[in-house]
Amino acid sequence: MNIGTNQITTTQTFAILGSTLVAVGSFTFPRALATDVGTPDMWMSVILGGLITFLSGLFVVKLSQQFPKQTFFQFNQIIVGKYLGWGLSLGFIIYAILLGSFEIRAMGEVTKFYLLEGTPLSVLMICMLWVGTYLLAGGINAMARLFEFIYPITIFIFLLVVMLGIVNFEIDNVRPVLGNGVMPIIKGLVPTLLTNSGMEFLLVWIAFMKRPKQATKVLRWGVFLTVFIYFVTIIITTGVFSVERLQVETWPTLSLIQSYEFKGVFIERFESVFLVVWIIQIFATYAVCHYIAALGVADIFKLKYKKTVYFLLPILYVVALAPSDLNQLSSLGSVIGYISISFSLVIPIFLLIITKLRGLKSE
Amino acid sequence: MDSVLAFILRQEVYFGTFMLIAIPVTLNISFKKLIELRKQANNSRSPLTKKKAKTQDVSSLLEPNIAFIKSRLGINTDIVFRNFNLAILNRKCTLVYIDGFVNKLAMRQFVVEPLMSKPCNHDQQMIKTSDVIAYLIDNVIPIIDMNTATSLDDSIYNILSGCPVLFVDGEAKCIIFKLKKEETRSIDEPVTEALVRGPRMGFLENLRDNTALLRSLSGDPNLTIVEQEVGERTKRKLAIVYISDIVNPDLLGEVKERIATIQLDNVPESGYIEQIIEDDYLSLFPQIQSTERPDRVMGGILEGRVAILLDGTPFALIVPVTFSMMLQTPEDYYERWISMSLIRLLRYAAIFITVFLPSFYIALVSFHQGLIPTDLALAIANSRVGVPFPSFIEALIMEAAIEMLREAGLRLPKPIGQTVGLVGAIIIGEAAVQAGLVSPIMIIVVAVTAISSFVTPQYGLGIGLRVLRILAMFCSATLGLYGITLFFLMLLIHGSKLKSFGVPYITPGTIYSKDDLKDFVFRFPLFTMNTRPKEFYPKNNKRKPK
Repeated sequence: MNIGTNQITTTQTFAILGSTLVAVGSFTFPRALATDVGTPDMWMSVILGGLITFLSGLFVVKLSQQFPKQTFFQFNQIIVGKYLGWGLSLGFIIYAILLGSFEIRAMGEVTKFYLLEGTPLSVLMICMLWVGTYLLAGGINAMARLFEFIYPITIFIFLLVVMLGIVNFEIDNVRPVLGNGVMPIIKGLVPTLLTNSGMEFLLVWIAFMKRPKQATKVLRWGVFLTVFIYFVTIIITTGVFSVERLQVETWPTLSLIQSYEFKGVFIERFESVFLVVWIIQIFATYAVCHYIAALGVADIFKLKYKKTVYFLLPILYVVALAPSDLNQLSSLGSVIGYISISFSLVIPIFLLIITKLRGLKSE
Repeated sequence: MDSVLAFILRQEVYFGTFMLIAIPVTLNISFKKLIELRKQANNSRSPLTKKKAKTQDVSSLLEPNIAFIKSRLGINTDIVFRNFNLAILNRKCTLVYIDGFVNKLAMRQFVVEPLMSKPCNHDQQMIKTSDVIAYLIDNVIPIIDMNTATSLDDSIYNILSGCPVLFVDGEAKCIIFKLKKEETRSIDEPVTEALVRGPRMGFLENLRDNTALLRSLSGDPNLTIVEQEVGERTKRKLAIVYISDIVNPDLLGEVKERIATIQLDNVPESGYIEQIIEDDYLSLFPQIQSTERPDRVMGGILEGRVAILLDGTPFALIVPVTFSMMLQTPEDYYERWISMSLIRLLRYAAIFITVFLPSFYIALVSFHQGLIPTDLALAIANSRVGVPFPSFIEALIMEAAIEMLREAGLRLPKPIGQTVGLVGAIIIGEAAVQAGLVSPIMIIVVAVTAISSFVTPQYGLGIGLRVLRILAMFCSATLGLYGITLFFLMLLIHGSKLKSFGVPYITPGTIYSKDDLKDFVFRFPLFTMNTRPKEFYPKNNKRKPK
């Protein structure tokens, strides 16, 4: 039957991209943004940041479409030569490992804090890594199908639970608009771009698409939906908590959900529902990172993909354990963000320019 | 440097890393071995060196033929050798049949009588010129279904499958009369798939009746029924049923290929075939739909699927299948769409409850008391006062009790079964609570779980879900809500990796085709469902001819 190919449909790519973009950021983003912006204009940063992500995504798409059926690990060697390309691939792999480990660690911290106080962090992380390995053994198609299934459901529940916070919404908290001018919005761009990390994985996904021509569509919808989710989250958290309080909340989104109760429903408080959905989303992001890293290692070291999935397990685990506390973890998060910007914006533009100058075309 | 060393020497680092790698690698290797086992078993059988048993031709003399058959079957007391004289030619002949297995009345009336009666207008000359056997078939024996054989092995096979065989002295051929006594029951409503509205007919044990039932449901000339034999010794008839201008040829080829790998002595039930041709024998989910309903089979093949019928069982198989199909009944389409959509939604809720409710209860009670409303938390805590077990053990005891009751009720004769149910209900409902063994809320949880497990329309799926429930309870007892989440993810991953004849198991759930979603959780009105499910790649996609 013709399903058993290594190709993914446009919807599946969209689901993969969307689940990667919505990750740990949805928990910490309001705080980071509130700290950097300091005015209620944060939502403008989100929209502006989304636009920038979309524009940089266009470069990524353009670059990938020059080399059909080739992933970043393969075509960068064509563009910049073997050794430099090797270095770029290695950088991409390290980035994926860092991001994956970061997600797992953050997931472990939140789960330990809210759900399982007595259970060691390592147990929580190991269990998720096992589940991820089980998924990745099935290759990209199993992953694509899974994400296609969970993405609409989780996003729906996520939005619903966040939007229920509107009962405590106070319009005064989001005013004034542009009270301090445009500068704070520009400052807010950095955390926004950090949160949107994950878009650069399109450098790999487009190679697997059945119709790579539709990559722009995937990008448009993926970024739009993500920006919408963050936009809603930011507006509601600001409206409920005010900017000043957001700056001191560790996990603002979860506090938002804890702030309201609906009497009479079986579960009065929705944080359990939210946590479940969020764990699934984190799992998706981690699995994507693990997959990309495994694919890259398999590619540049000429190993079998199924083996590299296992090789990467201890690396992911040790990196995830390395930060000693939440502060170190969030500084790791910013490091990852900066690498992400370079891979989603700087490197694609450079590579695209070189490609155009050298007139390269994949035959 | 020191800090790195200290980091590595932390127990969670070195021991955790070891466990992290050791367990998936071990599992991977052992699962590969298990899958390998099945492949080996199939391969070792596959070189089908048909031991060409020395085929003996029918000799032109009567005695050697009879002697050969007697040497093979003579010891059996139910085999009858009836000798008589062929009136036309005054030759000896022998009729061999199995007593009780043939239609004696028809045999007497249509075989023995015409052959023994003196011919009045038979031209002796004509017989002499033409072949005797052909003449008998053409002019003497008024039976529709008959043929001839030249090999003795063929004739023995036919005798054993209920067809009387006639040997005529001087002829190197024998005549086979298809006069098997058809033991059949009347068409009943299928017990396992009863409907409120819908045809009251189910398949029977006889393959011929079943194919006739299907023919009676469709006048389509493209409805194709291809028969073959399975079982090296018992040689059962197996029919592959499909609609030739809808079914995808790849799928059909795959089905035929897998059926060709069946090499068993005996295939008593279609469950044997199901287990041999299914994709993953280690999965808990049934990957082939079995049904007793002809209308369901008809619906399936009209969607571009392939049905497999076996002689001797009323259960037909339909491939491929996806998870959502396990929750559909033909009634969904017979009743009006709004109510049936809601009922379907209810079924999804029911399977979710049957798998996850006890584990949710365990997680909430033993890990996350803060997540339930305060009043309910207090009620639960009150009801658990004096219960000596942790909630996990409590749930396990109750689940075991319910499953035993169910199993006991199933095997006992109906009146006793009801008594057992009643006694069980009283003991569990009253005495266990009175004795302080379990809390009343646990009783409610287990009862709701048990009721919702009866909602699944497919029995095979229900069994799988019962096992999953126990696994979910283990996960929840160790990791609480987080464990349930991971278990749920594992289930979804398994579903997206599992395939039934090339079709992913969770297919309409992944948005493969927007049209297929019309028949997933909701059942859209009939006029909107104009296309066949794309997931099976049917050749002809339109349901309504233009």
